[in-house]
Amino acid sequence: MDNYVLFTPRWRKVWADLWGNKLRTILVVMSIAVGVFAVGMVYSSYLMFARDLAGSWGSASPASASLYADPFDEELVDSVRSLRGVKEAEGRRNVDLRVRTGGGEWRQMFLTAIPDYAKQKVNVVKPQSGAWPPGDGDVLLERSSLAELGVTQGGSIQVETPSGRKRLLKVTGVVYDPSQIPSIFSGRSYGYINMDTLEKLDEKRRLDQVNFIVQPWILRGKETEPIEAIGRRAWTKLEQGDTTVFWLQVNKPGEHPLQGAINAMILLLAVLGVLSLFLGTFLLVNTVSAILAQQVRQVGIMKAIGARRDQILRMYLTLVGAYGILALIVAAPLGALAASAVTSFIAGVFNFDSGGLEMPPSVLLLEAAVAILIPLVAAMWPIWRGTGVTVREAVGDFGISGVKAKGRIDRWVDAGLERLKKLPRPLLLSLRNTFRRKGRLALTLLTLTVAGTVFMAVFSVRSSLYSTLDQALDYFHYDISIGFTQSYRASRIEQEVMRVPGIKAAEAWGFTSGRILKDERKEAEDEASKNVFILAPPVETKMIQPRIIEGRWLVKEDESALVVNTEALKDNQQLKVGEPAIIKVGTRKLRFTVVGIAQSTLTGPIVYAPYEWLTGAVQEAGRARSVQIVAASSDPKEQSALGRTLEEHMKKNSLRIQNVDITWEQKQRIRSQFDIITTFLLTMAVLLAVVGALGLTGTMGINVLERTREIGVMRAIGASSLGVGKVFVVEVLCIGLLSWLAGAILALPVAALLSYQVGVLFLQNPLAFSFSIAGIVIWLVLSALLSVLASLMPAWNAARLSVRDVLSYE
Amino acid sequence: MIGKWLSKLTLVDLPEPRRGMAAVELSGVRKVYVTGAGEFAALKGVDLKVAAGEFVAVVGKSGSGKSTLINMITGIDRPTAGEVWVDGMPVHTLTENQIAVWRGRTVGVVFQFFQLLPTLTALENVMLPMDFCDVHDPHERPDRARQLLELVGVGDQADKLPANLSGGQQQRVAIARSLANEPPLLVADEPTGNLDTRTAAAVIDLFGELAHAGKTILMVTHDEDLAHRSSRIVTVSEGLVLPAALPGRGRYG
Ligand SMILES: Nc1ncnc2c1ncn2[C@@H]1O[C@H](COP(=O)(O)OP(=O)(O)OP(=O)(O)O)[C@@H](O)[C@H]1O
Ligand SMILES: [Mg+2]
Repeated sequence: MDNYVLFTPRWRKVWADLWGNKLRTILVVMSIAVGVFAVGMVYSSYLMFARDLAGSWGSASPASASLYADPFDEELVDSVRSLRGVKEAEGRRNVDLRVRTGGGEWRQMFLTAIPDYAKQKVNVVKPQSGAWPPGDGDVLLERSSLAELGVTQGGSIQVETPSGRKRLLKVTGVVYDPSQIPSIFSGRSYGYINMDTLEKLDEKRRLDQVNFIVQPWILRGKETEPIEAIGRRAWTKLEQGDTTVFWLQVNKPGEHPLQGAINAMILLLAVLGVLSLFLGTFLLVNTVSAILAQQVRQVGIMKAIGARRDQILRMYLTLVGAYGILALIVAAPLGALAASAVTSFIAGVFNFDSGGLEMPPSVLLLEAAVAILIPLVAAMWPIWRGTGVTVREAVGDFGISGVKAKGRIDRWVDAGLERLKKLPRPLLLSLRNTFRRKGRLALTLLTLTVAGTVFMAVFSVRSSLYSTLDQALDYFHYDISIGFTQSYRASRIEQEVMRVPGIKAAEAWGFTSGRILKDERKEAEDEASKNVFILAPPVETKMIQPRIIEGRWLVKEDESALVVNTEALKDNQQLKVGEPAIIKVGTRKLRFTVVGIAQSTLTGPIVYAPYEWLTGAVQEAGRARSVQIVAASSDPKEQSALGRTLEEHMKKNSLRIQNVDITWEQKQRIRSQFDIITTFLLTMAVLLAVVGALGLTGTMGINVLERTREIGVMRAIGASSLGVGKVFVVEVLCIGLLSWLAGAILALPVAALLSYQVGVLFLQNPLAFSFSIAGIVIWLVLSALLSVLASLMPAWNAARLSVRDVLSYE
Repeated sequence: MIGKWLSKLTLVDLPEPRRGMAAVELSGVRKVYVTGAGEFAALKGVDLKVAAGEFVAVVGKSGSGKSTLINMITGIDRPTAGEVWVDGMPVHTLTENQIAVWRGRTVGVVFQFFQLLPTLTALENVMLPMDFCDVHDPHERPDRARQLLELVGVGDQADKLPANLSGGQQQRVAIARSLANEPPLLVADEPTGNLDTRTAAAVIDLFGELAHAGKTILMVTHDEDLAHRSSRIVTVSEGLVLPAALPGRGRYG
């Protein structure tokens, strides 16, 4: 019947411990599985990201750099391609225009004309469905723009040319452009047309962008300088061809343009993984210690009948190993599933192709290590100690030891409890016992505290993100901004704007872009330096409110004064208040004196110069390229409508419009980007709360098991089921409250650190830190709730125990 | 690998037993407990010799040191001073692990209370010592265990869990288990403490038969009548063994 040869009594005991106490097995397996799941999920999503992102993006042969200029002809592209160090170059034409969405709103759209779709070499656009290449008068939409535009293949879009004419383009297909920043981040829609269609849009068949890839031997790791050097030679080449270059965009070699944001997500995932692993390990140590504490007598008996310590050690290590294997079986598939969910979520957000689930051996190996090795190592100490009891200790232990006050803390707790005399006696006893088992209490508290700390910190990161956003948006005091393709007399612009009803104020600004040079030398022009936008508002402007962190804002008397924002400062460390700055605008070198530094506000590298002086310096005195408008109404819908009216009015009066930005729409877009990361953060918080609750349930379950005698005595002296249950609920509430307190204190530094990291990775700038009180309150409520939930099952078990059950226990 | 490391760490080699000694020989055994209230001498220099095949009943007032005394013999506790020799083995010099191995093979221990592993059946409980000490061929173990259960009269309870056995039945299973490795010495601390008179008498009869078959038996008891059914009574008082007053009065003399 039973095979006692293969399965000797001692392994039967291990089996009985595993199988006979299913509740406990489930708890232990879950606590291990939490860590295995988290680590597996993080690691395999990381691998999938690395594989898919690099694969998707790399397959497009992304450009090392792109030059944007006034229209030019194909020969100039050939001259860039022939530059030493350039491997491949390709010209394109971009038309930035307005498009009507399915919902009837007007938005910004980027139409790219590619001379030969079949021979793409750089920033390759790939067909996804429908027609390929686009026919005359047709447009292919980038897949991430479909939802944004609210159109489907087969439909059509209405666009408005810069000169104000409306055109209908047929959407004949969908493409995938891996090197483009997805619509959700850029707020633009992307479409692809052929060169003939350009004419339909009132544009000449000319190019205005060169994308090029440098030779691999040029590169020095991830440095951008070698690319910039070539970029500037290409810039000169184009200028020699009689075109004005206004922008050089250099990409970090081998890095996705949104790498920072992706890294932020990976960081958060990794934090989640490591924390879950820690929490799971705490839980495990707790549970294993409890199992051994509970089995002291059994260990004693086994020793009395001749078991050596190593035999018993092996039994319990096997038990833990078995828990680990069970956890691995449960967690590995779940982890893989979650990883593919995370990857496809991120693939959707960052617009890359997710190559599907893959379980490389390294993931399984790591999971197996986390499931089996870590528990074994973690359980080593409790098992070693637990199996070290002598027979006399074990058989003489009647479970009342450890209740005597031993140290100062115990006496302190007793004194504290004395004051709570009004509470019922059994409750006081129970509380005292909680505090007596300091090791367990400490571990449970630690688990819950860590979970709570991160939960609250996550809320603070979220509120920091929002307050960064608010601060950034506080900068904008205008509601609508209109950019023009060329400069017009400022007075004319303002006049035209004011003729539209619903305008409260309008202000014409100078606007241009340039490069900040290191110094006066001629060679500095060829050295690495980044582009900046130069805004030239009237110095007393009320349309923006930059936060000055050093020096001062512009004043009336200023001539060549310059205020630099922190973003621009990052690329140009040499800029200091009181020192000169040289900016090359077009072919002119302008000399400024830095007077102040302004906090950057998610608006990119910007420098501010006085309107009068700058427009004079670039020979556009009295003229402007943009106008900022304050609407009379604060209703977003009306502001959008006003933007539309303004656009039409300007075009009717032959002012050529480059872009119309509605501030609230822009805010909305930034918010939705932030929501990606906050959704992520919240998911993380919820997971941690679950882990914490699991831990608490486990501890309470073990507490009840261990105190079966105590419960029996309480019942024997007439405690009701409700009374017994209540004791445990109160006890667990105490633990919950204590951990909440500790967590709230710890959350502050952790939140500050996390906010800093997320900010640096996601926005290239630390976040404006804001501590979330809401998070603290939510965790208080949640941990109380979870505590009660966690204690319900054990309390229910306890309340159900009859005196007879208790006496036959052991 | 861990297993190998573990066995190395806890490697046990028992010393060669000295020949020509009595089954149990205690000389000058003292046991001092250090408690919060100061030192307490539970045994104050005990000398005791038990020959092989003797059935000894240890009696004395509560707290006199009976349990302490037999714990010295089983190696469950260590003497503060003095020597404990069991069948030529210097128990007082052995390490904890050596004691475990030695005890598993040579001493059968029966406690008053909690005895059996709750998650194993009676049969498995009896097989456990054979398993731990690797005594008998694995194929024979179930049969041997069954025989032992028959011997103590609970053969029909073999496949029950301890929780489903009465106190007396559990006690008998424990005795069967103490005999599992055929130890020459059986030590029992109040084995009849919670048995009714008739069952207790049956247990003592069993001990008598075992002694007859050549086993040395030491048993602590409070029951005067039962004590008198042994071959020799050792009285412990205030940590000392009283000189034997009336030797050979027992039934199995
Ligand atoms: N671990 C210990 N620490 C301190 N004192 C102890 C310890 N164990 C036993 N004692 C004391 O040693 C004395 C002898 O104890 P022992 O258990 O041997 O008595 P006993 O004769 O077996 O009594 P009983 O018949 O009640 O079982 C007692 O006074 C007891 O209080
Ligand atoms: Mg005793």
